[in-house]
Amino acid sequence: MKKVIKLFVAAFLLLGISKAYAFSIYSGPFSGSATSSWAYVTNPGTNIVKDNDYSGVSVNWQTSNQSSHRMWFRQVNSNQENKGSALLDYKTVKTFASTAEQNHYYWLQARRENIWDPATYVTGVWAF
Amino acid sequence: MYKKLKSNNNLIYFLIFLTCLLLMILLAVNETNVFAIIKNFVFDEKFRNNFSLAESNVYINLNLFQVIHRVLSAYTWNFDYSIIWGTNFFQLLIPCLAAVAGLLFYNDLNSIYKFSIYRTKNYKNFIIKKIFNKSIKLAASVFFAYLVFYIITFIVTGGSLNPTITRELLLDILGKDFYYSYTYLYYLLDGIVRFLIIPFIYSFFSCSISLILKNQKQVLFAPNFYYFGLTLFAVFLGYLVGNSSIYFSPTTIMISGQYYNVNTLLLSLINLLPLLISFIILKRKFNNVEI
Repeated sequence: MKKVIKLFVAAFLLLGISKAYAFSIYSGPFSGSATSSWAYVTNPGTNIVKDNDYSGVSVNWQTSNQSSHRMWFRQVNSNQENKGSALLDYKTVKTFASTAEQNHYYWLQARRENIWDPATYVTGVWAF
Repeated sequence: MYKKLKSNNNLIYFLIFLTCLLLMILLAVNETNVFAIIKNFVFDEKFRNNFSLAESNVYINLNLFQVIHRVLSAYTWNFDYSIIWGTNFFQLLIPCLAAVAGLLFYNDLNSIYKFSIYRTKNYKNFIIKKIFNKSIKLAASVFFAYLVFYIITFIVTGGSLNPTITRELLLDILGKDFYYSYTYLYYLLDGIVRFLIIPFIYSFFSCSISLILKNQKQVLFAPNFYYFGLTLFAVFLGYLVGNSSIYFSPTTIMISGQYYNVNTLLLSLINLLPLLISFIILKRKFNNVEI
């Protein structure tokens, strides 16, 4: 009986790891200055090679020159189409719904709500 | 046209309603990036040639209308996201709209209409009533535009919500869970504050201050000078005192979702200041007037 439970737990963990891997096919840093209009915070031309379709982007916002406010992030494709967006708290990780395909290019953009605030320099890691 | 507008104040409020509504819709649609894509597709040959390469479901040899359809249909429409970005620009427009109310009141006060003052026995009540009417009409025009935009957005998005979005205004009073439990009601209450109460306050201020101003240019400039001047002051104050400077900025109430743990009452204080200034102006004016 114990062996069965151990096997069951092992299988469950393996499944979890493989699912986590399937989610984070691409992972890379981002950094850039965000203002009141959408600004690219990943380098244009970042080649995202993916194994399969997915439905989520994870953004880990790690540093900022202004810690007092939230920041908007969104994923765009090479046509500049808005694929999905999220409002993030400083120093948090959030996952938001989006769609992307294998061997196509995607970028991350950031933006603030307050038009009057000074530019916000943000860095972190994004994955999908 | 100008004469027609001048003679029919209600037409101006209707135009304000239409302009605000159109602006909200265009700004919400702009979040799909469709306008930038149209511009690039028409003027940038490289962009046009590469458009089909973005994703596998973008078909080749697309014309402009197919591109627009593609962008709008592939976009995930969210109710809360569209409301936030459809109305974000109004953090700049509020004093401009209020200035219109002030200008209408100023023109009335300095036209043949002013002789109707002599028919009233109470100058103070007459002026306050006129200012109130102008302010409430302007605020109602903006709020109805928001209401119609709210309904259109709800229909278009099917009420779908973005789970990452949160707001701050009123939630220190109503409780943090209120937003997630009653999101649609929250945006209605939020709209009452941002598009009814705030425009009313600044319109009242604009009309009151027009009593002591000398010409139309000054009336147009005054509410903008106050609003943007105080906002810039708060930005510079931010470098000295940090996050608490948001309570000195009149714009914060329009975009409260950007900040953490906002105190609604403190945030209201800076926006009640124009009312206080208005009452001081009116009191001084009435003390000096004899009919």
